[in-house]
Amino acid sequence: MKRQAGGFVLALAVLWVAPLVLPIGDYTHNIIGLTFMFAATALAWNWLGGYVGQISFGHAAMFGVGGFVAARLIIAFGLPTGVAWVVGGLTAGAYALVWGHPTLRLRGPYFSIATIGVGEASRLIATYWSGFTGGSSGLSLPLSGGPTKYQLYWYGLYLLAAAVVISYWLRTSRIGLALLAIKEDVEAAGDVGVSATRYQNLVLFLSGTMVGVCGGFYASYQAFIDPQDMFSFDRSISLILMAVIGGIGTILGPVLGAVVLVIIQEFLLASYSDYYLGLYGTLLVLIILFEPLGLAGLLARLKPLRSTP
Amino acid sequence: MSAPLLVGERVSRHFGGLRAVDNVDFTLHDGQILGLIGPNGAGKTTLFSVAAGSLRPTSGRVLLAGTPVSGRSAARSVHLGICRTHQIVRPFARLTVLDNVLVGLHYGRPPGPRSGLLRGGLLRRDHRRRDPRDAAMEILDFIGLADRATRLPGELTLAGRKRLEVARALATGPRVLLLDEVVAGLNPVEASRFVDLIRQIRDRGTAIIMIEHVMHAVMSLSDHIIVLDHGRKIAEGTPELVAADPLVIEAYLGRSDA
Repeated sequence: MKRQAGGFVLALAVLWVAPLVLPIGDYTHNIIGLTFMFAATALAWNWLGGYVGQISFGHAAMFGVGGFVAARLIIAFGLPTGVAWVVGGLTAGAYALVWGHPTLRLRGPYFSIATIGVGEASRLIATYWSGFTGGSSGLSLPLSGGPTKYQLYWYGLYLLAAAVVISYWLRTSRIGLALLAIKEDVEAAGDVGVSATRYQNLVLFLSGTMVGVCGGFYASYQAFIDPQDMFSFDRSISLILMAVIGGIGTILGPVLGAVVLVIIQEFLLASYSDYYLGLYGTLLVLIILFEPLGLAGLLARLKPLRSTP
Repeated sequence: MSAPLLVGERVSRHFGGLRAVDNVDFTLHDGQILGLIGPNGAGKTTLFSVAAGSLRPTSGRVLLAGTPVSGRSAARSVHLGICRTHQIVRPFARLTVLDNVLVGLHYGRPPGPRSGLLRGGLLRRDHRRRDPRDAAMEILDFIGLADRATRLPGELTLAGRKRLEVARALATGPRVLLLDEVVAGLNPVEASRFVDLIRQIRDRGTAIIMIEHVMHAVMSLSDHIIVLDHGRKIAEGTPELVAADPLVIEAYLGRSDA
């Protein structure tokens, strides 16, 4: 546990200092910043999908809510960027509870199907609510005032750090035990006093809030957002892909998954744009067939001495 | 006799047209073991589910020391002090034996004012209580699984898993323990050990309702027996009285002159 914490702090320090001392191009620098954010969203998805076992296909809804609320706050009130993200995130968390409280009593595929509905309904509402979201023409953020793309690298790093810390806390605290029990057998958990409603709601709220804050980050990063992109089904799927490819239920996994996904998207997509979906699919099938714990499971297998994260 | 600990008042539970439990009254006193017997499909387990809070009664209610425990959530019933085991054991398969018990220990008691996030981890040092692992080990020691604490439930024998089921329920600190066929399926040696165990649990101050098909177990342990058939209570009384009741014999063996 101490070694893990040490490794985490060391990795943070290295990533914090790296752009200042290494000759990294602007493009790569920005992409790494974005990768931090994706890793944070994948970790947040994993709290619900990996720890509680409730697979959400609708997390783009919270990404969108967080992004648009943050963008609106920045445009209308000139709120400091960080504050706007947090308010956007909390709004997204509250929104998650609104649909999550009634649907979380469903389990397995039933819950997943409900979340598809939530995601698509949110996308349509956002698209047609043009007074708030700008409709299909989207919203542009002011180019001055907020952090620059260069600075966003460190903001992304803080988001990732927060997501890792929360992951670790959810995993190792007493709450982690309740989540495992709920994942294993929700009725048996109830029969020894674990209130599934309470803990699932808590996890969904945290997850929605984190994803919402990331949506705010994304709005600042792109300086332009539109509902079709923010709320897209592809976005929900990409969260699942990152967590599953990397290793569902682990902490290292979603981070690795985000790195792989961004590499595929940014570097291979440019040259082989026709094949990238095929590549995702192939990767996913291979992972599910041969290593259900994903890349993290693969690493653990290669290094038998290291305990799985 | 003292005021009853657990009272069922005209408890009914219907599934569509099926009256799984039909107008059943029962009373459990402190320090007592109440046996619940009857042919398969008589509604015994359904009555347990209602008493444990996981099934809403169609009508009637169950009171624990005067407080209604039926009709809300199972978790709430556990917090009020009534906990059940399952006939087909349901351990948390990927948690160790010790962690299984810790779930009951951590979550079986009502959440205090510092509940939720604070109790859940941010303030993990709990000054009022000692290390929960010690408490869990004590329970495992009592139940006879201390040497298996780090194993997974799947590595235990059936008797072991049934012990774990009881240990996890005991960890919630129940005033009333509902045991659903814990002796059934065990070999005679294991069964007689389990009978001793149940007696010890009662002697430590937990009242028990047990569903059991193994007659020698239920007859030797119970202070009082209720017989259900097709959802209705057809007889009750001391073990000797019930065993001699013609209605009971008929329910189990059929009518001789039919």
